[in-house]
Amino acid sequence: MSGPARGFPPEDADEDRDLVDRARRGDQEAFRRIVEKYERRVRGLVWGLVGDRSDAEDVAQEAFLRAFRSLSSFGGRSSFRTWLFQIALNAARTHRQSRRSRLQPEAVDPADLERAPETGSVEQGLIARDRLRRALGQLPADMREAVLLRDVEGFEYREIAELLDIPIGTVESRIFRGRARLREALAAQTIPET
Amino acid sequence: MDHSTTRSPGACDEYVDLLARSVDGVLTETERVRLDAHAASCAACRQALADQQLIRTSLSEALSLDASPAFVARVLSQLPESGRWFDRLDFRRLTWRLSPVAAGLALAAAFVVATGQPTVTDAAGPDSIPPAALSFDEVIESSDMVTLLWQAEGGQVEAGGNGEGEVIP
Ligand SMILES: [Zn+2]
Repeated sequence: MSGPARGFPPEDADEDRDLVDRARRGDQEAFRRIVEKYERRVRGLVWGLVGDRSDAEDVAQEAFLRAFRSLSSFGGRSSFRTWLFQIALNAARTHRQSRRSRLQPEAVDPADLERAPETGSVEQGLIARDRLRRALGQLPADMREAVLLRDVEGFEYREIAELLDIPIGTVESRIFRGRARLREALAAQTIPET
Repeated sequence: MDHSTTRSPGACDEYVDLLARSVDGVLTETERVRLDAHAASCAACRQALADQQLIRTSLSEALSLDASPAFVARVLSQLPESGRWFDRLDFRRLTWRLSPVAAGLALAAAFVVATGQPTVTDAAGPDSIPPAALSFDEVIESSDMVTLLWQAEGGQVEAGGNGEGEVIP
């Protein structure tokens, strides 16, 4: 199963409440369900944030473990998924601070080449994944977070405002400028190296 | 926070919010009409719109992952067994790990008994803490396993606030 993450169905919140209640009472099966439900999204977000794929798996794991350890402190004032993704954001920030890692160009996954756009110009087609991930590495962290939460995770603008604790106008601005910068970075990458 | 732009250089500031939300399909009818009317006569905003659309469409593709049962298994394997922290303490392992310290304590005690005063008995140098001076608390604190268990129980070690009262670890 793959494909873009696009928002969350409304019934999710009810299911989450139930799972969290059970997990708090020590039901590890409930926590397993939580991990299964969110692992793709959390791993994808963290990958975009920290850049390195293998680091991202470790950071995503750390995020879930932090969430587990802190379930008792989750008060339900925000939705569980908002809380979980805030933990993931924090874990990624901690990682970035400790590593001061710029996004390293990864070895190109051969599968990516197969999935690269077959037809159409760069303007029209999907952009090769590795180039876009490289471009992400050049984006300021605050823009990167906003763009990833919207375009990869499918959070609503108001949810992103809550997640990042910023006004919704700032969310709109960061997303607009983040996408614009990504587009610019991609355009720069297409200039042949001499 | 102002980050100067970029490739959509001429995009009109007052349309930035609409340009961003337009490609997410969340404009109201009024906003849609307003943006369309403006874009019809503004090449820079048309270009910005195309850029926003391209990135939005491509990004989720670039970072999409397959579900990973291995990841789930790895996370679950890190969870402590159920029960309170005291029940989770593996005393056999703890005893094993602390046995060198215990042996040192026994040796030091024997030496003190033999000489009548505490003395540094090992070769670690004058700054090292005499084994007899290690309190039980210090011995316990020196065990990373105990620390991990303590953190696993509390989860408050790195806790911070998000301004809404919810604690985000
Ligand atoms: Zn314009």
